[in-house]
Amino acid sequence: MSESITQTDPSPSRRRRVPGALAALLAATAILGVAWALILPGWQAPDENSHYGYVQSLVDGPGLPGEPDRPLFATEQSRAADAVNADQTAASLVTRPEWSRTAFERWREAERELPDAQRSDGGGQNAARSNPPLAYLLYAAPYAAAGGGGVFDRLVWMRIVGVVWLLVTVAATWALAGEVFGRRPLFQLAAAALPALAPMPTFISASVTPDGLLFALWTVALWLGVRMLRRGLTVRSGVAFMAVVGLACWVKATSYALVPGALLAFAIAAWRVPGGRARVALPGLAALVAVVGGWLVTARILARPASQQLTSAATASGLDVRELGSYLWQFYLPKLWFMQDFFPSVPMGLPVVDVILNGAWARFGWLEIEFPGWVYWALTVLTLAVAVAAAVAVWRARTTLDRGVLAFLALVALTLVAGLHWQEYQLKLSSGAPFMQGRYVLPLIGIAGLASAAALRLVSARLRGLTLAGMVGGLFALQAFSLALTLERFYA
Amino acid sequence: MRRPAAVLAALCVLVALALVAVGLTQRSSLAFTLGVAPAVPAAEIAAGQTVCQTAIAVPERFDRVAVWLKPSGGGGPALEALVRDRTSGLPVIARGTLPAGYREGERAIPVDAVPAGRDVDVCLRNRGTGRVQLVGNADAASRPTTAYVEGNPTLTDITLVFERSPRSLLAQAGAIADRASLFKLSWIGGWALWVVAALVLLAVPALLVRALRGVQ
Repeated sequence: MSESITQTDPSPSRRRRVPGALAALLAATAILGVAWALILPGWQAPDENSHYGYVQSLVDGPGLPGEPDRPLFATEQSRAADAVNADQTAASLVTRPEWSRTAFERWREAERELPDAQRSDGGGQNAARSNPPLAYLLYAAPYAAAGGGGVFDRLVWMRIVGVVWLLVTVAATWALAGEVFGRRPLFQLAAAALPALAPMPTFISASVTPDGLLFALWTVALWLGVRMLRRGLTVRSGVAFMAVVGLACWVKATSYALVPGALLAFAIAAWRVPGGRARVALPGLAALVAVVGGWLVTARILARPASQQLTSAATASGLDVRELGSYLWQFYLPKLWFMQDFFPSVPMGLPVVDVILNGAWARFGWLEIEFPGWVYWALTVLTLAVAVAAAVAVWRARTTLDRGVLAFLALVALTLVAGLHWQEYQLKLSSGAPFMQGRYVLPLIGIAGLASAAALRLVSARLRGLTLAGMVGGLFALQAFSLALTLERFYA
Repeated sequence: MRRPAAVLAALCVLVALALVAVGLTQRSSLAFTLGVAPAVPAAEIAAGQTVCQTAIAVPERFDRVAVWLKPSGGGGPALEALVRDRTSGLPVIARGTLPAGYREGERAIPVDAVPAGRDVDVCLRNRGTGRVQLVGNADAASRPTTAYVEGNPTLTDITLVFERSPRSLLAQAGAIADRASLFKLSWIGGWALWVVAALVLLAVPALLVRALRGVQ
């Protein structure tokens, strides 16, 4: 990774121009995102009904959801879900969404008769109620703009806003790779092609969920953090980085996992400042405190759980180190005969493969849409090969790479994974319920993109172009077949 | 980067060809479903009893009805399927039989072909001696329809899947596009899905090739 240090920055005017390759990649991403937004039937993505209900409650009333005495969803949403057969179709491969034109016309007639009051009688304790409001406030714009249309118009326009967040994720991964590898478009394309073309980030971002914004803000934070480490801490770079980390905490409690890594990066960057550290560092710290604190104070005023997952995990009792060790062992390695079975729902294989890898690559709808098993085997082998190649690339560059950057990225990844494990371990103890899902690690998609690009560095310069063509072509194949698989599941 | 771009273009063509091949070889016999997930025993019929799922709009022709059955004891009793036309005084317009001896699970009963556009009741009469449960869901699962045993409402819906002779996915492409366009933006039709398919299969590969060329 030392090559990047010697790169000369392009002129400011050239820097401001979007590179042609990135523009083309973004256009392809947008098309794929819109395709997902149009193909997915209403509320056939994880918790999309709850996220839509949150936005409807914000815009049409009564406000933030979570009122114990109110219905989960407004009458309008419940009737629309009935009309499209959303609840029966969710996670059931036997059933299909409504596809009769007569039924659709009947719904259109019924929808015209619905009084406005039936858009504001939800706001109950739906599954998304404990989430911070930032993503939902942003979704409120397309919801309100399409307010004159029907429920499904609003749903699709909200999904399309999610596609914009995916574009941010892709652009930020490109920029992140630019900081790590220098402005070398081949590696930047290798990195950014992953969030652009891997089907799961597209599927999730093109459904109504805060996760799309989460991926975007995490990736922007990773870029700004690495940029700050590489170029040096300034007041501007510090404030921008910490403000984005803080904003991510307004999207989902998951983002608290970003804070330790961010503080480490900030501390390293501040340490590298020759003099007047406090003057340069304090505004950044103040930005983090202000933005995160802003949410904590707002939540307290509104009597909302500011960090439910965090506090419930932190206050959980009954830690048994051996049991926790057993849980972690079984997640990554075959269960031994004397261990209590933590994963009865994964009788064959390993949860790290079945839940994390397979789920992060391709599992659609309410996770019931899957490829045949051999596809996942191939993806697992490829993923492991890329991970090993990336590790070798890092090892080879160990004398020249910026260890601050490595420590920052590693701590962010470790904190997220550790937090998810802790959360699941607690749930397993209390109810036995599984918690982990592949999409929960997708905030790290920028780091996964870097790993792809790092793996490419092991290939001889002569073959890099061809290898990259194979990577991009393979990802496009997976994306195209994922769309086809989803079409078949719902409409054939 | 000319060669890598050519390789990528070739790969994208291969993807399109593979999709066509899968579309030609993968077949589906589904005409439509009642939209009821099989979750709980929804009705039970003893010897001579009849269960009917009423008021089913038929959007597509079908000639088989699949049901989820749980016979009590060993093999299940013979079942006679009757399809009655609600628009003209409930005459039987199609019938079929499931022979006795089946085990628990999904069973498809061949019936005479029923054309699209009808409004029908689908009834199952127990022609054997044992009892059999039909799997389905709560009555709210399919709002316009409901199940009755011997004329008495069960407050449930039976899971029914309507099938026809298998067709390739490619042969159904037009129908798939029409179905996918419903309950989306109010101003789009099946044409929009064709446009999207063209963009995904033509414009996206072109853009990816352009991106690859741009990184030289």
